[in-house]
Amino acid sequence: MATFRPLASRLAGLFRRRELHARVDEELEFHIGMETQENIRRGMAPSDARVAARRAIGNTTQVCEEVHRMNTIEFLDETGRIIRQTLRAFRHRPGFAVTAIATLALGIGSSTAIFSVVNSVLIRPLPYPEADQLIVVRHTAELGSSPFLYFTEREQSRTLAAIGAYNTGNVTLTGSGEPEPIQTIFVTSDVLRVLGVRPLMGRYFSDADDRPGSMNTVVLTHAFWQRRFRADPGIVGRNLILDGQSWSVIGVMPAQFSFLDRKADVLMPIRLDRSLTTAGSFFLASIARMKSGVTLEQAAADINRLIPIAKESFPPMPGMTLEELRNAPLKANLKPLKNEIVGNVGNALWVLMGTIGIVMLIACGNVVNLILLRTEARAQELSIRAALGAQWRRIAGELLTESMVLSGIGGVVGISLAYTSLHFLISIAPATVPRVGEITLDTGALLFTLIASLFCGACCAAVPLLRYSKPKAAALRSGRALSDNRERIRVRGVLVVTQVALAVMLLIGSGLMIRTFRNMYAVDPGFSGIEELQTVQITVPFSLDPVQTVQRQQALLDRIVAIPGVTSAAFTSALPMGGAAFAMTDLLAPVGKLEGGRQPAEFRFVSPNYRETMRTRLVTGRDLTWTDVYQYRPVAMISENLAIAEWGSADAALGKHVRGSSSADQPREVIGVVADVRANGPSAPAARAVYVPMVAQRIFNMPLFVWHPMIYVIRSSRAGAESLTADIRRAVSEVDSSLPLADVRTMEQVVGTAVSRTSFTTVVISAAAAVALMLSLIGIYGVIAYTVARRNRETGIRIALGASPGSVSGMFLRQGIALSVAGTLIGLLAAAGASRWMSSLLFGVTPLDAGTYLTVALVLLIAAMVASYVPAHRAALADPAETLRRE
Amino acid sequence: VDKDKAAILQGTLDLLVLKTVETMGPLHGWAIAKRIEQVSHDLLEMKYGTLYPALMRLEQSGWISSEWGTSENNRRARFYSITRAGRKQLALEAEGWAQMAAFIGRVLRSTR
Repeated sequence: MATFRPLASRLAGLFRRRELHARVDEELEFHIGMETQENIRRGMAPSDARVAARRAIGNTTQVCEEVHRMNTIEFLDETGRIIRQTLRAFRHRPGFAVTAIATLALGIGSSTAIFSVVNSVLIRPLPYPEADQLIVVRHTAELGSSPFLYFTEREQSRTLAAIGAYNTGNVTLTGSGEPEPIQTIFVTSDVLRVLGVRPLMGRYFSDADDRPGSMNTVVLTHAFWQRRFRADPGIVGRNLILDGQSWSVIGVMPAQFSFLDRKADVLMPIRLDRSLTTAGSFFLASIARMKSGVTLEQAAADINRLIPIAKESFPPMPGMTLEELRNAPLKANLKPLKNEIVGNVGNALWVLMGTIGIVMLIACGNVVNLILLRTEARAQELSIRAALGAQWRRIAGELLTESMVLSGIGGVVGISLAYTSLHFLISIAPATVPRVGEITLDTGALLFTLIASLFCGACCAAVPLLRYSKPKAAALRSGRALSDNRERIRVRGVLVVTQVALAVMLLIGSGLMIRTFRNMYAVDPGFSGIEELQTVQITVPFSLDPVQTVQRQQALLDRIVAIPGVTSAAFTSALPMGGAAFAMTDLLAPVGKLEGGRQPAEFRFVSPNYRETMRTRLVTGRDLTWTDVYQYRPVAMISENLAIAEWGSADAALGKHVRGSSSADQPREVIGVVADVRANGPSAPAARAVYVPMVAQRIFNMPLFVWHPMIYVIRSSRAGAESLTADIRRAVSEVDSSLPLADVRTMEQVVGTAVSRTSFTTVVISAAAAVALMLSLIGIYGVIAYTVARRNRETGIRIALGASPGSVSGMFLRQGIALSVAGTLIGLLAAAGASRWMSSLLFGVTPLDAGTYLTVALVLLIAAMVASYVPAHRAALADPAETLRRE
Repeated sequence: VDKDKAAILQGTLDLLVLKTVETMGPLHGWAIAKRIEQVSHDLLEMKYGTLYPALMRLEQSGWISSEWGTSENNRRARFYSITRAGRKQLALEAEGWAQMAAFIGRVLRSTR
């Protein structure tokens, strides 16, 4: 390390000019003082003495400049000279430079791409100012918000700087050109104040716009404005016809604005009427900005304080008594907005970051190999130079500069590579990755590239520096390049074994993720034929009474079933696979207790035909009928796991009764048992479920329960087609032209969202593993090719003496296999140790899955064999006469 | 400027400085200059202006080290002393110089 001290002091000198000047000045002043005294002692007059002393030293400023020049210019000159010399050397050996740069670019580029994704999705704050103060407000585990809570929190909260509520829906744009369904977010006027975003042009909704009966105003998103109006700068002030009404455009949002993770074309005021608000009906989602310095706990305490106040401030909704409202188990459930959007991804983050490091190490390994090769070829030259008095630190400086130049160029190429592969990554994972639109190569990623390049440069220089820290006399003595040098081969072998081991680790990681991903799709979700299922949320007006609500919902269903190509349709309060829109979970906790209170279960409200439409197997008993619905029969269907848990078998459950935890609830007869359904995503165990008719008496402490926002599931071979959505819209408008369609999704999309984190992690790890595999194969190839080249004299002799080509190539092949077997074994052990960090990401496969380990080992060994066979085969084909003559 | 005095041969100032601080222990710049002049019996012309950059260079090469101290007349001065690397370098350079001197001597004799 002593070698680097002068370098460090020079670098420091670059920045400490003033300090250095002060020191030199002081020394010169002292010198002049001493010289003056000396002159006086010799008999000069004091005034002359000082002048003479000054003259003797020359121009002091010049001395200072000289010192400074030495510190900076010479250093920069020298560095520049080495860089030029390095580049010249590269031009003479383009093969070496190109290979090294390509390898580094691959390593740095892929790491930068992965880092960009991780950084954009997981690390970077949401694109709102002071995004860490943003929270999602819920009022039980799943329940969103309700106008009565929203108004109370908005007016009386002490911890929130602002709170906004929203809901999503669809409206139809007519007037100019084709009628177009457009996605709408209905917002309160303070939603943008919460997010802290300003419109690009025009203005955002004021409180007046959000009042019932006010003029119709609408704000466009940037993408919609560009697409539909070709970025017309005069759009503000124009009128749009939305759902048959005229709406005045008052503003356009900036391009980088996105409303949380929702796609939206326009924002419209929700215009809640405070005077008509009753306590109940949770159809809103709510986001808030906490005052600075307020913690999540403080905000939760504040909202918990407000819940009883809200309950007293508004009349209960129709059909609910004050007593029941007071008993409603509401409780603040707050979550940082980022967690809501990105999810709990800490583990995936670390695994992905780990893959970055491994890919980079493997790339460095290859370049170290190349540089070693080159340094060895130059060993004689270096030894001669050292013997002729070249300073060791100069040689070291050259080696360091060389690898820094290499990794610098590699980094630059890597950035363009990262840019391209990012586009690819984004294109393959569009809908399922949160914040995918925000993925960019930002300054953070560029900084990462810089650090990665420096790291690679240092790594690549370190090995040859350590190996050649002392010039070896032996290299000087032996004039001819050595035939073989066991130590050199060993160092190279260790490098390759390490690379193979690292690649094996990544391959096993990706193998486990791929199996997890496939398991998630292979698991029986309890329903089937998802490619033919279309889902859409339709909310009938809240003003309807229970009987009208049910009639309206059934009328909608009848029209939808009548659409050509629709084989069956039904609706439910909550889709499986977490497919329920989060604003639409039911009012009171869906988990109740059965008779005897032994098993928790989810209550889901469904229409007749729901089971058949979802193609969930009927284990025993019968289905719900419309008669059950209209006669308010106290019946229910339950899941098989619940039946077995309570009564031992499905058949035994028939005729038994279930009810919620409240003793006022009506016991419901079990009329049917259905197969278990994965309600909360494929990797979560199937929930125990109770299916209740969509209108039910005496449940959850309510005399009559009816649920307005329902998710319609529609089975049709046209699922996902625009034409089907248009037909549904037409069918719905025949019943009620004011009803919008919301959350139009196919069941495949719902399932895709449920597995999005897994699919994304799988793609990224697999990409990294592919790069790792390739790099380590290049490593194996390189070592064998090197050994072949080094031993071609020996090979020539062997062949000349009658060795068969097969035995010669076998000799090298065996070496390649030995290296890859060693690497694979170490990699398997390391993976077994490290894979437990992944266990929380896995599903249906253990971190020590023998099949995956075996497959990876096989794949790697076969690939390694091919990689070593190529140079080994070439060795055997060499003409011995030619080889020996060359030596 | 004394015409009888020889200028210091290029590249030898480092050697002289190293040798001086090796034999004399920690010295400040002025004392080093004086000592070199004195040892050469005032035959060498010491350009003081070149001495300080040389000291700085030697220090950056790690051959000498320096620290602030108090001079014989109680003033703050920078004292230089030789390092282990400096001793090695001195040995190397001294050997190189001896070889060079011998070589030049041979060349000069052979032309006779």
